[in-house]
Amino acid sequence: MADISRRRFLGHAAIGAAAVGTVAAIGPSILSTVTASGASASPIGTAALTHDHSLTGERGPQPELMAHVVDQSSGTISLYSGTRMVTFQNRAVTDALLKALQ
Amino acid sequence: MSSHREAPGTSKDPVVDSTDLYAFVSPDKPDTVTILANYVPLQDPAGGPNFFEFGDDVIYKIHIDNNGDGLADWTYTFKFHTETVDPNTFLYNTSTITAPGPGSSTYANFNRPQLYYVTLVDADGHEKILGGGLPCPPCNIGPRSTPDYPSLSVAAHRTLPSGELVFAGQRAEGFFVDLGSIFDLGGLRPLNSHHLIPLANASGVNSLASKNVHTIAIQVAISKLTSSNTQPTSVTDAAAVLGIWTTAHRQTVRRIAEKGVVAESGPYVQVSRLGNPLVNEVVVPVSLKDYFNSQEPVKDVQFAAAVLQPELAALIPKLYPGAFPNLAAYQAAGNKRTDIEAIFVTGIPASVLPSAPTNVGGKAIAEMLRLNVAVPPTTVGSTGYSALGVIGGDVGGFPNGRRPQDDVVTIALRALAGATIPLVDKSYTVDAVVSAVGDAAPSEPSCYQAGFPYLADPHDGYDNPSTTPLANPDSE
Repeated sequence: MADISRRRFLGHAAIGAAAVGTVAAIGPSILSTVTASGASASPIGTAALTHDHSLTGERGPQPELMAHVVDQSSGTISLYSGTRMVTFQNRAVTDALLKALQ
Repeated sequence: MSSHREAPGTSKDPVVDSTDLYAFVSPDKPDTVTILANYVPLQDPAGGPNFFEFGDDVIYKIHIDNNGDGLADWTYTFKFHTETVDPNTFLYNTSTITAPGPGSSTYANFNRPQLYYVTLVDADGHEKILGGGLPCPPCNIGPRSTPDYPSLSVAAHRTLPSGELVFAGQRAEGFFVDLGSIFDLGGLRPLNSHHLIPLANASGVNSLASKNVHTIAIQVAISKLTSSNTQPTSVTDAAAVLGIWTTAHRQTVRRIAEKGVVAESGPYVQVSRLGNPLVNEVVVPVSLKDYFNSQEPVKDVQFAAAVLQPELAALIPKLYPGAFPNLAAYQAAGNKRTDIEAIFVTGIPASVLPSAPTNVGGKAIAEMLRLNVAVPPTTVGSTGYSALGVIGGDVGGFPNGRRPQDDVVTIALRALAGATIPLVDKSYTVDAVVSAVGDAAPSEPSCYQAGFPYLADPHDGYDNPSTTPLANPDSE
């Protein structure tokens, strides 16, 4: 299990090619995952980091939400926001995204 | 070299381009190990008005494996953030920059201060913030802006509450190499007349003279890093060897957004990696260099073939026909270069190097800079010291770790030319010319200092390049 933890920390993730669309900005809930999750902050660290958007992967008050259609035929989409990536399948969404390009 | 612009990807992305990694028992504090990870290569000191910085959108890491399995047991991470004090000026500094006072991280009149924080991650991925708000000094600009650079530099030495001494900022480039000749079809100026395309023999040139680099430096108690939580005194202690490498990570998605803003999102992924010098530079083929940079050492068995039959070793007898008959015959017979494998990816066994084995903890095929911390440090100029490290009889140097002044180009070239084959094959006779192999690039003593961070203050932009102007023909 230790090996899995290391890999999760390293944040390796398989991705496909180019992102095809910026869908929309989303609310702050997705910021719950931060690079330093689980950290036991020392006072010096906490004080210095309160303004650091890069710690959470955000840029300004609203983080980006990027959608990458990994595979049109299966409706596989990866979403990127903050330091997170989530992959799911929904043909209706991929069809709608690709239709918007036409 | 040693890893400057070593891969297509990093050559286009200097802030993630790890140039050199050093790891050595601190000569002035032998109960500690010092690790230097250099980034942002080939800096011309006068490179204003936007002088050099670490990447705010990059996570830098220094990994330590303390049991030889090729996996990190400790990882220090460094994350930077740059402020713009006055957004309405183009100036890097608005007057002479002065050092922060006690308890402060603010350099007066510095318009682009860069701060960072440090975390420590254990083998199970638990991360702890060790310190934040740590200042980087400004770049060394010149006598008007940074007239007292030593005070600016020392003010950025910070001891973390957990005991580590850290520094991050610009330093003088301590690596020395004749890039211009080596990458001109493997030319070594002192051996020019022996080359397939001969030229007149000449002295070596240090292509990195008067260049700067950005250094992340950390000095840690040895007992804090070893698997035994002690400072080993026996070189054969299984806890005596640390395997060290540095990596840089970017977020998965990068978008050039409106109004010149770059937006990034997604998990951080590894885009740069460095353990031993020269491996990705001249051992890994160009088609795999970016891939190598994305991989963890524990997966390095996939690169074993390139190490066991290094291309450069095969080229040497061809580029210098007749000069390396024994090497040519040895490799033509299909012999694998297990000496190179030991140096770069498995560690050197005690049977080969009894005074400084580098695989006593484990023998995983993993490209890491291995340091036996039970070997006492040898100070520059002291009896027994050699910039040629192990092949010069000084086991305190490369490939037992790496010190800033180690001549790793000459060491690696001689090793590839056959100097280390007898360590694994007593029947082999080294070609006579090997002792003359090297690029002969001179090191610059002024680029080093005796104490932390061991690389000297950077060259300033006002005086470098030389202040001696060339004659202007139009004015005559």
